[in-house]
Amino acid sequence: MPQRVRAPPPPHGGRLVDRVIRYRYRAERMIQGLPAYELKPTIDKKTGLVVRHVAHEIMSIAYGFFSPLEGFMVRNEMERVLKERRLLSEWIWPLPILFDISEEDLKKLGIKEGDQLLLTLDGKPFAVLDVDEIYKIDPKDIATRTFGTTDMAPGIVRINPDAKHPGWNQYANMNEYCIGGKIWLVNEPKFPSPYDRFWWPPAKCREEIKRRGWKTVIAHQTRNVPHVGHEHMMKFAALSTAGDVEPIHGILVNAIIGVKRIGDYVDEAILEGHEAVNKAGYISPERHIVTMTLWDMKYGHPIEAVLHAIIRQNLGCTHHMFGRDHAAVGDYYHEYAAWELWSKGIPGLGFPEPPHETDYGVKIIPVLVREILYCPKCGELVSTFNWCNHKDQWQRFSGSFIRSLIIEGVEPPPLIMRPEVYEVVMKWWKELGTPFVNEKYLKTRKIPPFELEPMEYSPKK
Amino acid sequence: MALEKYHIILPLDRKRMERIKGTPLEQQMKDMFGGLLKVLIVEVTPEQCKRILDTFPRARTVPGGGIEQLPKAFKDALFDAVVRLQRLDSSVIDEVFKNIEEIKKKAAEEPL
Repeated sequence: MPQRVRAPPPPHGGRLVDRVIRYRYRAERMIQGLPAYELKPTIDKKTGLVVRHVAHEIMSIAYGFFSPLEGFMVRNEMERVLKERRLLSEWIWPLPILFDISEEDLKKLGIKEGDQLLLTLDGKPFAVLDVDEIYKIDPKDIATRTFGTTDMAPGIVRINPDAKHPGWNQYANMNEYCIGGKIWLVNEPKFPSPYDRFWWPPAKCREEIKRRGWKTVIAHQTRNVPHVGHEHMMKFAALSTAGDVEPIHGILVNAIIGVKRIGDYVDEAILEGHEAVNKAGYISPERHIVTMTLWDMKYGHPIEAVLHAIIRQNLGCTHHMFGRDHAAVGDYYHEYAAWELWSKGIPGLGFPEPPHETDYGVKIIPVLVREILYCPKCGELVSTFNWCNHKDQWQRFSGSFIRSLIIEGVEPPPLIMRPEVYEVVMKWWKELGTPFVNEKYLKTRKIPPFELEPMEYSPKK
Repeated sequence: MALEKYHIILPLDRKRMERIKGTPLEQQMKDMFGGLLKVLIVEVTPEQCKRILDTFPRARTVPGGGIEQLPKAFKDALFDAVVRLQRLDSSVIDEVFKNIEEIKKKAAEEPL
């Protein structure tokens, strides 16, 4: 029997979290007299570069992207996640979500368990954190246990994550104390263009899916400007029916927007590049939405794949594409580790069964997608699933090959990058002085990418 | 795992096409993506590949032996050497490395 799921599936944990205070008066009353703490980015102590901003996580918790999480983890929850990849409520969860703070700042604030803390951004009230627990961590130990080691999952983890692994580096550079507790967002941010067009928090996204009458929706994770291979991967996956009786109704592109690495495409081009695919009609806008999630990519491949599944289930998707090297960097994991996870589980990383085939697991259905290449013999794009048997003639169009063309000033042929997408890349190159993230972009870019309104506030005396 | 041979793809835009027009290189031009992209492919030995990767930290090899993410300054110098020597074998790479310090300086000024 085909597996029937209908969009939107229940949120992970059964209820969509909404921790946003939308009434100004109530928010202002809530924050009066609280001690205030200005949020700080996590900085790589060696390079001085920003590697994470906790404000992204606050947004993703408050708007329900991370349902059922309502705040930052207390020690027991963090420990359970590291050992069993489950929250205290039993629901599957892949990695610690921590609010870290230095000993010096803790002393200055003079807070204790049971207090509330006002979190500010650029001096403006942003969120309130319940101080349920203050505990000490060993950041490097957390980093290593989060991503696993070659001993824990031989063959899956190929190289022990280290300072070159961006996710490991984020955790390892955290402060030595954490505050666990629920959060409330008290000041809804405003996104500047172009981000505002792509901000579809789960409740809004689910409404849109219902309005469109989509019964099935497949999620496409991205941190890249789309080439035609990506576009066809989405189309092939959507046409696959994925266990249902008819092709998937909608494609939801969800870009991860957060801290960048040198060489990445700029976020503005990623979002508008995907939008160009539907604006120019390569995929009908009636079947395609481009959205974003604020999160600093951890590049945890199978670990990150579970978080992506949770986020996209919360957004209302029934299916999720997972390809080769999903959310991966370097050779830390086997290139098909995410496929192993969704097919058999990875016991050594705390997933004895596939996360969608276990109690309190995710409800989204994984679709394992193949790479798309050009076959000159067939004269068309083909999938590596061996539908075409001219393997020796296949021509890859990797992202790095297209980047090389762009850098050399050669417009990629329309068969590998749509001209409208290329125009977007050129537009942002002109605007920002670079098509890809460089040091200058990293230093001048606003993180997080939104603005807050001032609020009436009297701090603790 | 190290391969026995590597290569660098030089895409040909209109300007580059003009420079090889009527030369033997024109016969060595290859089609990619159904002829939508014309390219020259330069051979690279494993030793040269290692030297390139050591010189340019962002460069990487891809399945099939391609070397990608090279600075524009290097690719331009490589194309100039190809035109000058009228060859696509690995001797062209040695020729480019004669001026590698100058290329590195130019590469450092690129956006990436």
